Amino acid sequence: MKLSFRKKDNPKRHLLIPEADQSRGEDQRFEQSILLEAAEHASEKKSIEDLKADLQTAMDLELSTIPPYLSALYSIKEGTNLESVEIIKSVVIEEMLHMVMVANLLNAVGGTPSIGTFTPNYPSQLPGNVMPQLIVPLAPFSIDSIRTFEKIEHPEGALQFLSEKDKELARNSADSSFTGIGEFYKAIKDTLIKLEKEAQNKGESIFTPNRNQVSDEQYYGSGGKIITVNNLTDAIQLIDEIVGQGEGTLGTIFSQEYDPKDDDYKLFGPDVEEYAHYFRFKEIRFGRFYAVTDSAHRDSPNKGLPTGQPFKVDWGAMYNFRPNPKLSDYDKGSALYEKSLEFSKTYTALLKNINLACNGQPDQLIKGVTLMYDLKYKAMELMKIPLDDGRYTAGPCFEIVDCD
Amino acid sequence: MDKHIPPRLDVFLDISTYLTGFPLIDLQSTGMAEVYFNTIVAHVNPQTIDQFYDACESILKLKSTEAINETIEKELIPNGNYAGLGQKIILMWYLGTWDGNVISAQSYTQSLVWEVAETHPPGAKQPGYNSWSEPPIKINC
Repeated sequence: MKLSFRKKDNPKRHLLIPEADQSRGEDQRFEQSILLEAAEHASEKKSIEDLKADLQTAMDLELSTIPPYLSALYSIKEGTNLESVEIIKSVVIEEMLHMVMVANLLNAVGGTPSIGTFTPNYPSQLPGNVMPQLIVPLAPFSIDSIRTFEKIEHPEGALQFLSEKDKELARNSADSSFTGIGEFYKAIKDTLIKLEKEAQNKGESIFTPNRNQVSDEQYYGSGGKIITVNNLTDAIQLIDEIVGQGEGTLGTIFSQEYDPKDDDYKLFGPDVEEYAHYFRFKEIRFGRFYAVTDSAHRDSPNKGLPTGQPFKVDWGAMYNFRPNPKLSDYDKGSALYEKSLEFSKTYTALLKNINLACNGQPDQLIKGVTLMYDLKYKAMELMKIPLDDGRYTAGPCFEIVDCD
Repeated sequence: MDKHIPPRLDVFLDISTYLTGFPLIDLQSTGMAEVYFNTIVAHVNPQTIDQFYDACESILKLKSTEAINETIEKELIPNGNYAGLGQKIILMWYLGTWDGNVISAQSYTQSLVWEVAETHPPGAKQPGYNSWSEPPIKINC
């Protein structure tokens, strides 16, 4: 799929500090390159069918982040790494929310979401040509895993993989392989706005109100309020919410920017409590929460790194399952195969359940909760089974299997 | 996995498969093997434990399952033999208890009795809203 490339010319973005030790030339810092015309052309050419295809890819993209996050989460030994568990859990829950919200949007524009026919074959690239440089594995909780998660949610998208000099070149090129999750959604937003404008000029709308929506009656208590889509305003709010929770493209940790002169900020802290995934993962790696006075900016006193309350991260307190577990690792009919298959069946059943919920049977989601817990217990059982190599344990195979 | 594996943990697990009737993989997946093994170490005289495992080793060498089961019944199960270890190991796996006391929160949740009774451990392992009234999930295909 072709995606439009969005230029990152927002000065705020340039100030982001992916790593404190990275230095940038003064001359480059506020360099404003010309917005690429290619980006505008890309969204201009898109039809409603292209939009539906992009939204399906967006759902696949959200889904693809879930198995890696869950694998790391479930590998943490019970009763340890409590803060890290809470952080990873909060992110996974939001990814699930995002997937269901994108399904709402896809339904609103007359599409049919499909969940349960696609799942990545890990280690895998992300769908939609998003950061093709990044290969995502299923692996236990480790500093490497957290680094990978930061990369997935990185505010600079694929530009993170380049030197400062090459970043400038990339910003000036029309190469879509530098798309991050934020850019991916920005392209969808542009297409939505354009298509709706065209439709309204003809006295029509691309949106059908109340079509197969999952609402807060079915989806509650997790990762924020679900947004239902009836019109363009809802759609834009939904996309902004997803991007804000994920990458935090504003270049800030909190919704309000750090201002050392603002006494209110210093006293009461920022407006929002939950901040973007990228920064939450960074907290785990550094074993510290962000303080309310912390900034994402390179030039801030904290150099963009967390300086708040420290917490304990015990990297050794995990079940060291062999990365990228697959059913094909085991002989058919062996005890481990059967046990792994049970997990895959549960995963498949869960996806199919969510698929029904997003295709006109929203009440199904309540049943899905039971499957989600079951998925967790089955994953944890596998991770307790030592493999013959004496080094690793078995792990959950996030595969789709034939199952009703 | 822990790098330090206690000696004779394998004997404990092997004999446990006969004592409980559950396959090895199911016992391992409870994550309780080492905890139960250490519970015995904490409560039983080391000499008795050694003798018990010596007996287990020779029983496990028997050729047929029938012979193993028969010998277990004669040697390990009778009251008073090896400080009642044979019976206590069964109770430990099934109820997560030692002498009637729950060993840990995990041992309660991981007791085999729930699996056998096809039910949820009450108050633990939350399966989701309103699902207490439903049996644990079995996906058939």
